[in-house]
Amino acid sequence: MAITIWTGLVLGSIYALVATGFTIAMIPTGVFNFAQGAITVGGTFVSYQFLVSSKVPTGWALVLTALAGAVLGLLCEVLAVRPLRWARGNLDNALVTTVGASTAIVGFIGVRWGYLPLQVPFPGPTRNLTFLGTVADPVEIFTVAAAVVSALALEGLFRYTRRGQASLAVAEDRDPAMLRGINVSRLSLVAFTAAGAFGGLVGFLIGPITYANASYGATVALYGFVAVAFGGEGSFIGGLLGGWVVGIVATFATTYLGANYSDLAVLVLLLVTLALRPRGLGGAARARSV
Amino acid sequence: MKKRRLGACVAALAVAASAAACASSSTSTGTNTSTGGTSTGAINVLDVTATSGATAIYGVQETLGLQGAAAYYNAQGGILGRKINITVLNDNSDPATATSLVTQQLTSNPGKYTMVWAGEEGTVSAALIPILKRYNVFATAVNDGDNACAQASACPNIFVQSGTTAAAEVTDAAALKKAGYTKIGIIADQVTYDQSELASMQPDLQQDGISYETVTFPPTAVSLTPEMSKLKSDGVQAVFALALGPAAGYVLNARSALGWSVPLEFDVTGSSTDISSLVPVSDLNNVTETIQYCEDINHANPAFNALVKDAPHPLAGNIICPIAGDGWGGIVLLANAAEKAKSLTPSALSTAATTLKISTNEVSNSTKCWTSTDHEDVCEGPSYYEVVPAGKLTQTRLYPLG
Repeated sequence: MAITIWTGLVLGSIYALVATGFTIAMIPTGVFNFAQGAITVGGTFVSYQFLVSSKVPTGWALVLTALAGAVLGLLCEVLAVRPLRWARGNLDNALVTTVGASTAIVGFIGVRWGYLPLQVPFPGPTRNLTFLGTVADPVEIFTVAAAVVSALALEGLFRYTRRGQASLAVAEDRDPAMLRGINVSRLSLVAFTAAGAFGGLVGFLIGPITYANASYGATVALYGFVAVAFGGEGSFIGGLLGGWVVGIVATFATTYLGANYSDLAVLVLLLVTLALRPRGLGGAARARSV
Repeated sequence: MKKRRLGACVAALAVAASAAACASSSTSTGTNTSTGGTSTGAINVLDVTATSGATAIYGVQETLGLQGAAAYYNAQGGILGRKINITVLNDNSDPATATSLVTQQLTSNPGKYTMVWAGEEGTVSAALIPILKRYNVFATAVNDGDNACAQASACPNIFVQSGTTAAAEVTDAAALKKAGYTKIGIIADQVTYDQSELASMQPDLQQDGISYETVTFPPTAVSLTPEMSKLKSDGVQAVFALALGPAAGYVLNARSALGWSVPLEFDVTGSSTDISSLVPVSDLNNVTETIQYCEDINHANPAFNALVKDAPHPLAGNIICPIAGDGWGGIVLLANAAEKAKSLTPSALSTAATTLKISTNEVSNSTKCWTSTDHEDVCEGPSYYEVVPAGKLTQTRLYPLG
């Protein structure tokens, strides 16, 4: 049981980290960047390239991987989102174009590194720890910790800093925010770039667990989306809880019912949760005029 | 004005990316479309495959084989004097996408395609069988999902490159029996091919007097410690793993995390990945894997050398001989059937295919043949598979490209 709980927590933390990346871009722009999963997977390959092929020192590899993620995030905004705002004045089709960006990123990964999984080393302790009836790889502990720390830190950043509140203001209502002098266009660029950098860092962290695996991008994007749906749009804490719920439910279903029931269990729980609480576990209630 | 022009360019790029999002890339990779001499036009082959998604690991290799074989035959004048042209359709590893794309292509291009490569993996192929029957197109694939084409009436114009999934399992069960195990654990990926292997394996184990406990995992799993822990607590003497791609690494990682040195045998899909590249060497103690005919360097295989020479080189990574070899085998089948029939009509090719026994120019297996009642490769048998210590694939047919 303890092993199952821990495995679910680790899996859920991966989904939570991707959900956090989604939320960073989504709060100021209202756009769900489906390419975030592909950016994360890109981070695993870039970290493999720097750590294994190019033998770059760990610190620099970390920085360069974040930079690569930032560039991908920026390109997503400039090529897949911004033109919709210019051409149509709204971003209704941004999900479609970001799916295209995701496909393009994975295609590039396949051409550059192929579709065979690559082992990404963890530049930290590797000796497994045994506690509370389970066994944990140090990278798994780092992943769970990173999910918690990043969710708490970003929740605080957006709530209690000026720039964070500017983002929330744009999310609330774009036009008054512009009238108040907030440069929404630049904010969108910054948000996507930051989300991309975060995705790159997540890839650096989870690569030793998942391998650099080109086909994993769609999986993390989908389950990261489910984590956001569970947790409520715009909530980092909600995304963390949502990711954990998804990971634990999927792992328990696999272990005790069989692999066939993994996706089914997650879907049923999602439907029940949204039926009872449409705004998700952590989403804020919205006021409306009647 | 400049900004608007720039915006138009960027918008065009975004639209192009959006088109890619429909996961229906159709590219004519045309190895040669010339129609010189007595040829009356190119032979068009529709390659329905995955160049993205979970099974791209297969689709990319099979396309490599198809394109390599097309280049090989085109260099010798083509088939019946006509050059081969390959059109690649990306199904994004999704059966529904594959059926939609194929239906569109065959409806809007009646009579264009002489042969269809029907999907990169059994789930997709199984979905395409009814479509290909309806449109009466000569087709081939790696496997048919669940031995459907073992009954020729179910696949009248479709001929499968691999034999029954049971052949490899006979070898695997025999290896476990020879090692003296009476109780084993099976850990199986929830993909169609591995599940069909599992269904074939279980009767073989029962026949050999080996009891087994089975656990399964979804393709989305990244840690298999709970599953392996369950097998450990069941007290199994060995573990047989049906694992595709990185899942082989997850099995090994879980075994190591549990401090469990149980003998571990991987199925033939496990060896589609170089297992030794996934874990430290110390984790490969007591690990074996099932390799296919062409991966044994003791078998002379000039056709593989031709594949390496003629396949295009746009990709990183190795050429995996059993997978790329099956794509290559698709064109070899077409060439031999056309030569026998002196015709390219679906019925003539299908009739000719049932009379063939191909033992030259084959890569993945030494001999391939089909009958009028069984459209799977009936020449493939347990002798085409071997169980060898893991980590030796660098000495077999994985050929580094870059």
